Amino acid sequence: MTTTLLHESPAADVEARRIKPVLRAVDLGKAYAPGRGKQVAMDRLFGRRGPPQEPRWVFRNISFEIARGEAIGIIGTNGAGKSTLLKLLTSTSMPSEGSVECHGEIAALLELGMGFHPDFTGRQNAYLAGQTQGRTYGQIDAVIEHIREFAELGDYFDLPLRTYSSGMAVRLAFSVATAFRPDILVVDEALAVGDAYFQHKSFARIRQFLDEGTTLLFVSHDPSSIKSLCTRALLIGDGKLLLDSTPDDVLDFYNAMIAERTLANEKTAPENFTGRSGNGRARFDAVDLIAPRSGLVNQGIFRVGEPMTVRLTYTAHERLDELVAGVLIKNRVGADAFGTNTWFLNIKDLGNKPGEQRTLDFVFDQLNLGPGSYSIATALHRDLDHLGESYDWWERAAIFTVVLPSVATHFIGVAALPLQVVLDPPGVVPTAPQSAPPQAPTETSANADQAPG
Amino acid sequence: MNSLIAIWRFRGLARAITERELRTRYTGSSLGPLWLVLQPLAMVLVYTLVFSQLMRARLPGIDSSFAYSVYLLTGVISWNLFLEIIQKSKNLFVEHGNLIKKVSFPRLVLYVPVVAVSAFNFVIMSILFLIFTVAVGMFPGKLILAAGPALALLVVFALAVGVLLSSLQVFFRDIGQVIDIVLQLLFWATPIIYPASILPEAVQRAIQWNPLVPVFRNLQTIFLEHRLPEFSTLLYPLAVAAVFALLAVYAYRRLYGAILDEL
Repeated sequence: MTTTLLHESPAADVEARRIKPVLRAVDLGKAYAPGRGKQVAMDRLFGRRGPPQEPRWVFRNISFEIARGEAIGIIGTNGAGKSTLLKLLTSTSMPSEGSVECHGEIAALLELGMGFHPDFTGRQNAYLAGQTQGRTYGQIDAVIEHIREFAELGDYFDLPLRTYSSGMAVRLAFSVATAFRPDILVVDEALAVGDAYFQHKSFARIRQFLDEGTTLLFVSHDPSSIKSLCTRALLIGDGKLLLDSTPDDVLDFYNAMIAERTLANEKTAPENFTGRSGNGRARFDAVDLIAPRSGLVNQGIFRVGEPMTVRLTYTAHERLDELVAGVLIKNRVGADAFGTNTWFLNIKDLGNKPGEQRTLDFVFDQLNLGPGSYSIATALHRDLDHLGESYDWWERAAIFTVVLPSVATHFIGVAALPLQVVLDPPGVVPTAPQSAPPQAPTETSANADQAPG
Repeated sequence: MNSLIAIWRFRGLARAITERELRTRYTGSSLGPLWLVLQPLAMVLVYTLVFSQLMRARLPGIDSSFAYSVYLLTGVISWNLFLEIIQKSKNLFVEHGNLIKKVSFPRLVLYVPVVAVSAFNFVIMSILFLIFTVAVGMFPGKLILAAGPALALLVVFALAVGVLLSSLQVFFRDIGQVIDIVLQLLFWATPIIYPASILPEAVQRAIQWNPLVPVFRNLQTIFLEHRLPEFSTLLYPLAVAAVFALLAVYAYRRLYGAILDEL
């Protein structure tokens, strides 16, 4: 049932990949004009090409090449455009700009199903679906038993599809889509519906196809299946391709992104937001996080050990000789990670220019925090701490996420402690009494500095 | 040309959808496929009995009590072919939206079942009709082959209009309603129920603009007068059909991407 594959030497394989990607997206962009179909149709009929007017872009400028045999995971939050991207790649939707080149046959499992008809039996639908892939009746005849066995539908195989549970429909769809080994297999979150047993079974089949040279495009919210199946991952978000890297890197970044979004939602909670207090004799005008290396302001993501500047802009509305400004970094669950203020740092004269806007930078040379999501509380108060007189206390004034620079530097915990690991360090005398003369210790040192500069 | 090759490659799909369309009409009914015949049979009977016997309608110039029935059936059966293709194509994209959105295949394949199902119905009616002509001694013999050009033209015409409408219908849902009215007007502007000779001169000249008139005239000549029709009169409807075909190709190509988004 699977077509035999030419045996290729790894070198030849690599060569072939370099020459011809199996799938290539060039500057791909998709825009919709929801609710204005008539207008779009008129524009098209009377000559306008390209994206619709007043477009709502799902994404733009997405470019990548996929080589034969690669397994690509596509990651992104809901509505990021993963499904739209797959539709463009499988030409069930046309790009508004850019182009897709595809060299090979695609089998796609999009949004649970393959255009099944509810009144027809599983068997009839299998034939129909096979035929939409361009298979002849005879070709499907040859594999229909395999389809039936793989889907494990029992008697249901010859009952109308409307009697199926969604899991059964997916089992049928997967069995049909993979009855012949395609050059490119596209799976869009569909498998999440199947039970664990069927997932195992289908992953086994996908792996087998991968070994035989099939290219996989896989959308899933399940990090473990992406990690275990894919060799590369694309992160879609904010209307563009955010990251194209190893699954581990992309997933770390993605998780950080989600955590940040969760916090951001808390932050923007309307009305009942009570994060700001104080008598207002001095007030913050803005709190910004700056990544000195890129110059980006409030982009919200920092790698472990990167520098970070917290810029406080404030105005004292009267002369406040004992004005103190402080920052406090809290982790996701609200525990203090680090905090200090100008009183401890012995910086004075913050409040001697009433009515004038001033800027105060807290420059962290190395953000040695563990990966995760953090918030910053800032305060303006009199003396030592805010318990005396608080002018402005701003809870969650800024939010940022710390991500691992790469998988190679993996560690756990809330702090990134600079570290050296030395095996049998010189100058240490073995404690156990030995008859043989002591040997010069061999030194193995691993530099596990978690804060690459 | 490429699309023709594609249609051939996907002939299995075309056949499957055709079978499905035919089968859905009688699945669950106890008489089964018999219904495919009973309905047209009823129509043939009604037209022959009611008009020739009860109303004693006669065609001027032809001395046969069944001549009017033959005239009527020739027109109505051919009109049904034309009508069915247009009406089935009209909603094609909307109807197959589920399939179109999920699987990429040459969309033109979907028109094959439209023509096939309509042709199937036409053939059943024609067989009943021909049996009737034999029974009343009005079977035109070998001459029925001369109906080929007119019928082929009718199919092409209907398909061109159908493709155009199906592309537009996705965006402009009113078109479906409008076209039903237009088709009804067109039906009465074509001598199908009545003979052209009963019309006043001025009206007769006016309906010459109707491209369907020569097509039906062709068919009626064959079945009533039992002689070869003037094929040259088909050039005008052919030209009109060609214009619609070009419009259809233009609209389909231009709108295709937007159709996928709109469904």
